[in-house]
Amino acid sequence: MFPYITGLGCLTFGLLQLNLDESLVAVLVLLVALLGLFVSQNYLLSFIGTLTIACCLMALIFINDSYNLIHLYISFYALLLVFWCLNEAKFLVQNSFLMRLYNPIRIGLVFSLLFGLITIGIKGIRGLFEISEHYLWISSVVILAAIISLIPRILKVVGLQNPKQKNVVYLLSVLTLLPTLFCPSISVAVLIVLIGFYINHRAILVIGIAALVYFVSQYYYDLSFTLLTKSIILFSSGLVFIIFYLFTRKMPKEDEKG
Amino acid sequence: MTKISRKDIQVISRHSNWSESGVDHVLKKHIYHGPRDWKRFLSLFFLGLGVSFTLAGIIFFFAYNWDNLHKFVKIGLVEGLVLALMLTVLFSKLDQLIKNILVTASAVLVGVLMAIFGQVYQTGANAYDLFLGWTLLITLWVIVSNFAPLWLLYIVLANISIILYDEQVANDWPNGVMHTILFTINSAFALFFILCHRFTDKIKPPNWFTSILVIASVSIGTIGVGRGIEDSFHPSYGVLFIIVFALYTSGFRYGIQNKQILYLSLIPFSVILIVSKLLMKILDGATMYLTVSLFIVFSVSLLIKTLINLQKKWRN
Repeated sequence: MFPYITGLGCLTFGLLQLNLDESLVAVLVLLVALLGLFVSQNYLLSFIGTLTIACCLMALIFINDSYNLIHLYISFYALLLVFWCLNEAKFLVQNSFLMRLYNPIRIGLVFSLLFGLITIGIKGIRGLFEISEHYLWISSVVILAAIISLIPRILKVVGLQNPKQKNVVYLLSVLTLLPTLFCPSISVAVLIVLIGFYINHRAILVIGIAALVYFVSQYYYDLSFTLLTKSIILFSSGLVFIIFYLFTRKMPKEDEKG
Repeated sequence: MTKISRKDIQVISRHSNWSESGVDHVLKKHIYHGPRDWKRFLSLFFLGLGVSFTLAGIIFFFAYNWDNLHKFVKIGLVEGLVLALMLTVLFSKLDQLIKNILVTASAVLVGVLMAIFGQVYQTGANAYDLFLGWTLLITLWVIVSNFAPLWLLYIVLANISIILYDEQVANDWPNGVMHTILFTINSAFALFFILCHRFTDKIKPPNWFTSILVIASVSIGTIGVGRGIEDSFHPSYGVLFIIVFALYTSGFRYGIQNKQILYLSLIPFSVILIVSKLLMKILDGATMYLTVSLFIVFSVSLLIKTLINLQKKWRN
């Protein structure tokens, strides 16, 4: 593992010394990491390779000062993560190299997504890189679509079949996630939690919950209302969630009846 | 039939021509969560979110109005909470673990009470008597509850009280006295909990708890001895060296006898650090860097190799 990292570091440093265009360096390192993924079958090396690819993509975005492309980065990685995690059977059955790489790439994708979240979610970093707040809704919309595409699968597992109740669930989910339109980090955290629980992967679930706790706290901390307004918002949201809880407690009894 | 794990499915699918739908079906049946788990997850999720948001709302409300509250209300509120929690612990029929958690919460609230007292009567921040008072007040609860996290809180508070006392009051104490006292107290606690199973059956400290105590004692010992090497010599440091030496040798012997790798890795590592510090004081300049780095590299590799061999010997 250490030779791989030092090799990549030396390559980057050497290419930079050649006074090449920085974007070209990033693309070259990305290609090297991608090639490394094809060649090696080691868990750690594939994980580091995935992270290197993510860092190169982010570097490309920052070098060219096109900061608003970060939304594209986040949407891409979120959709890739959902596709990767939900099609476990498809990847496991292939006889090619992808079989051994499935696990490390999966967790690498989660961390790549987290890297993107950190730039967009933490207000200090967001202000530093002048990411406009007007385009935040782009990634939010994509993430919302991803979450809503997960809901039919979840409903199938839970066994909820009444179409009226299904519509209520869809409506409530959209309404609950709508306030996060200008805070995509919270919706991404919710997506990670749902995926982690769906595929029964404890590490992803824990990462998702930690991210959710952090980004929700940060959102409310940054909110520029008085403490009184914040307390009213929090208290009412809390009551709404407790109503949801009572709704989920009511669910099994209805299944037993019908 | 033993439980099928994800690793089994991956290995089998790699070496056979299992169809995609077959793998999918087995994954959904044995690995992915079923309806009951989902319901439990969703209800826990919403309950957790709901309770935390509601609590946060209440706390923010109090924070907004804090300055306008009368001092009786401020102090009375927290004292009322402490009282309510302890009455619940004493007179309700909850699970033992929940009662222990409530006692811990109550102990933390005692600290909050002391802080509010300090704020109302302006006694100054970081006053050591806040921590000293906190430690003394919760002593009885800690001893009676027999709950590891609460004991950990208690020991941390005792340490903080000693450190702050040394910083703020005892300015005439010679340098080594604080380190000696800290090391003595922490190792006394560690020794007590490691050896208590010889005297009584009722106290059963969990492994993580004794490990944390041992790690803390060894760290404090290392820092103290390092300071002793750096500063000018004083009898208190001599006492520290003797106690550290005695406890390290007995800890090492205990580790070998009871096959606990924690002692055998921590104590040699601490010795390596102390010797490096000694070398840094004796030598100077480039020779010092070279010698110390070579020493550390060789000793750490030797230590790791010995530990791995020892573990293999124990497993067989």
